[in-house]
Amino acid sequence: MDTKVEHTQQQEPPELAHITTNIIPLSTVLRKFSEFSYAELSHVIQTQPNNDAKKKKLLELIVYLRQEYMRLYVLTKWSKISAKDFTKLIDILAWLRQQTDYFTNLIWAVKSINQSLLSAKLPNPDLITALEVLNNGRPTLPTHNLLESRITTKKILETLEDLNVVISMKFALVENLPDEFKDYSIKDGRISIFTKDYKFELSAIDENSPFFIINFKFINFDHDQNNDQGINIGNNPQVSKHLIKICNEILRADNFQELHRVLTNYTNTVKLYLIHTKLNELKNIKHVYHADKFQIVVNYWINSFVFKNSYIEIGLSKKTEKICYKWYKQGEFQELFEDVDHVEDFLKEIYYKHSQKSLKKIENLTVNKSVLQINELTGIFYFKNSTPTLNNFLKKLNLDDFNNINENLRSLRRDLKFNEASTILNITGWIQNDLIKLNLNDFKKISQSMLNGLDVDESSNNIHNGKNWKFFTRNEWPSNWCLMLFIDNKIKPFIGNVRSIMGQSSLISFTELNIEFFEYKTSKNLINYVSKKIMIHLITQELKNSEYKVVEESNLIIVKTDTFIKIPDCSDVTYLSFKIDDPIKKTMLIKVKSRLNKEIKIEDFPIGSNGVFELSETIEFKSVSILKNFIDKLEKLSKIIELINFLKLEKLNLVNVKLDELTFKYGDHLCTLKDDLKIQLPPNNPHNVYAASIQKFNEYIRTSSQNKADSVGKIFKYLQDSSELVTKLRKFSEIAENQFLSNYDLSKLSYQVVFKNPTFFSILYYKKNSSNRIAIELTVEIKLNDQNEFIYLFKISGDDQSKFKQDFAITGSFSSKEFSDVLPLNDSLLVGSKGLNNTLDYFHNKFLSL
Amino acid sequence: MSEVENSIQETSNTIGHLIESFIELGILIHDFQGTETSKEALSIKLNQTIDDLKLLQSAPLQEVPIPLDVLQYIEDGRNPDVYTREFVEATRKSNQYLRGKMNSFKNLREVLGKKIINEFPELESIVNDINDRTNG
Repeated sequence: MDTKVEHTQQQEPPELAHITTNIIPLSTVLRKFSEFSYAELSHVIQTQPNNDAKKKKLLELIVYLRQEYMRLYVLTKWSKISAKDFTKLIDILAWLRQQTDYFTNLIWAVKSINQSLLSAKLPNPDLITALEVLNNGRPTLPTHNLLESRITTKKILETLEDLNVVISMKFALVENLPDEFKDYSIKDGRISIFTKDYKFELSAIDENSPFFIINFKFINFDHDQNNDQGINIGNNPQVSKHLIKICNEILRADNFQELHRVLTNYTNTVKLYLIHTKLNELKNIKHVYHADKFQIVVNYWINSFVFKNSYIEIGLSKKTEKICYKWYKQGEFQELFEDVDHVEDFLKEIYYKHSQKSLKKIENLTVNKSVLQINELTGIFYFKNSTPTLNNFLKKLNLDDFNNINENLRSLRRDLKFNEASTILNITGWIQNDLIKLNLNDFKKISQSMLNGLDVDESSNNIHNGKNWKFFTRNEWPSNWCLMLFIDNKIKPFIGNVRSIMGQSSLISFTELNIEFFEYKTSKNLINYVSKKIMIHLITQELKNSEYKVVEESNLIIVKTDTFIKIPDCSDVTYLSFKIDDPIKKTMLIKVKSRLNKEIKIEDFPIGSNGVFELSETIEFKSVSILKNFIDKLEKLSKIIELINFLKLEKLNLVNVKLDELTFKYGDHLCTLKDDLKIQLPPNNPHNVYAASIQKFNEYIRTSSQNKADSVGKIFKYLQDSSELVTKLRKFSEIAENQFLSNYDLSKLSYQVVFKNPTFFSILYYKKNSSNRIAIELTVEIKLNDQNEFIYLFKISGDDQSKFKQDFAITGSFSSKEFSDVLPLNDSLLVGSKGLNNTLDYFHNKFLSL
Repeated sequence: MSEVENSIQETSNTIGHLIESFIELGILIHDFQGTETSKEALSIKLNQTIDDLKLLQSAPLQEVPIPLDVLQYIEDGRNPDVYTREFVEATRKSNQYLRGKMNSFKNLREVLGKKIINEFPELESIVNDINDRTNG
């Protein structure tokens, strides 16, 4: 754009340049396409040979043309609305692009101008030389020591000596000279004053003019401080100049006290700054330098959480005006230090003191074979002779409060001890059970029983903490039994019976074990020992209220026999011995040994000649009851001995004795008493006929009488006494049966013996031909008389009853010697045992002879 | 409506008619049986189409400019209005960019002019003249 033209003419801006490239008129498009269409159409119509091909080609062409005309239609629609504006837009955009290019050119042009003008800079005027020329008429040029001094050396020396005298007098007259300034020497026309930290030199022109300070220098500062950081600040010429200016101001008033104050302040400030720079180099500390407060706070052991808040405050002591160090250990003030020469060494000393003080507070530094230490550089705990487990634990130690450290170490030792024990246990086949969670009551139970054994205050707290308890079981053990380890300073092992109901565990019983160490060597013994303990516990549990004493060494339990099972005529004590065969077999051998004072032979129960008997059984660990079989046997033994004793009292003949069976003889007959006092009679025993009712009778007696022996006695008495009657009746019965089979005589009376119950019998006489039926019943009932002897009540009933009543009435018939011991009653007979046989025979023969 | 728009309208009508003719022509050819009537019908229709083509050929639309880009757009089956919109957008952006450039250079000119006047007061009139001439 030509700006000049535009500017001068002040007219409308020129038309935009019209763009024509890539733009064609719509008419051209339309014309060309219509020509194309026409040509194609005529070509297809004319050239195609056959009809079908022509049709197809034509259709394809028409479809194609139609599509293209659709596009043309769109184009015309568009051109109607936008074409005019669009060319305008194209022009504008082209113009804008052109302008942008101009700007780009402009930028390049400015840049090249900038570069080309670099050399067009004017130098600064040399004002200093100009001033020299103005003053001296010529510039001062370097002399290179070629000009000679106008003053002779001699003159100089003289003047200096004079000056020495003058200033020594003048200095001697100074009032209120601070003590620190009294170490001085006069030489070369100046007074050199030495103090502890610095030296400076004074001089004066003559006796009337004030002193002025020439030189100031620190002494006794560390040499290694002049490093690259410009630590040589004390003797920095710039600073010294400023200081000297201030000091000269003070000296104008001859105020040496003030001078001393300023110099000391300055020294202290520099010292503090030097400490600050020194601290900058040190690692493991963080310090803040408060220049305004004249204080540095050094936080050391910054990475230690345990000893956080440990710092040293460095500041100025108001009393001595010296730099002092205040040590704060974990926020508490500890000690004040002064006259510290070397900060680094001082820090080391503090580290040492701090770590020693902290370690002293720890009750016991050793964990197993490792010793807890504090890294004096970083304040972080570490273990000497460490193990990976300990290293893991260090994280916790280093992140917990220091007050908890004793507790933490205790728990560490506990964990380690437990780990050691549990590793051994796991390897040797113990199974840890984490599901068991005892409740508080159970812990109380245990702690009460332990109160004697342990430190009360310490352990009683820990004992209620479930974390201190671990539980182990073994496969071969009875379920619910486990080894319980209480881990405190020591490991206290228990065995306990823990029952778990609905996720709640409850301790049913427990016993403390006497084991101190868990080692691989003793682990097998441990299993035996613990198994034994459990066995003892299980056995004693079954002994219940019995009095017993456990002799562990010889695997023996001595039981007072009476309190266990009452066995008549037995020694006072019974020995119960047990032996674990092999833990792998999971069985144990139990023996019960005792002695009978009496000589008794029992067929299936061996008893030694001296009365000693022994029972033994191999029992699985897991069996529900250990002593059941023994108790059963012993009870049987007790019963049988009781019976034997009784039977011997009754003077019965013992034929055979077994534990659950006893055969004896009464009269000529055998009777066997089975277990539970069941009576068994051999077939040839007359009582066998109604054995069932005798058994019932027996049971009745037993339930009605309290004493077993008594009841047995009653039945024996019955059997013995009724033997005569029953034998007789049995004989009748046998005869009747034989007759019935062999000799069938209708004319005679037949009879049948009926055993109604043990005390009531009847003989039924009848005729078989029913037309002239005669039936008589003779009943015999057993009764007891005053002397508890058997008497028999005879009764007759039936058709011809009246006939026989006479027999009862006629005393004559029964009063003879034959029928002694017979007492006729109104309608019955009472017969004693002596007359029984005859009376029965009499009636029997009489009826049969009818 | 201007003359040009009228003729565009007419042309687009012609094209519309032509499109319909092509449809009919297609149907006629598709159903062409070779009978006399169908031949006659086909020839009438073809002639009509050719008349339309003739009309198109002579359409007075030399004044209507069509950018080739738009043609390409329609060739690709896209909406030319989209192209229009994008073009307007591009122009607007270009304008803004240029305006920014102008303003910043105006500032540069003023700052530079002031500095030059400060350093070289004798050049003040020249600087002012440049400023006046370039204040568009």
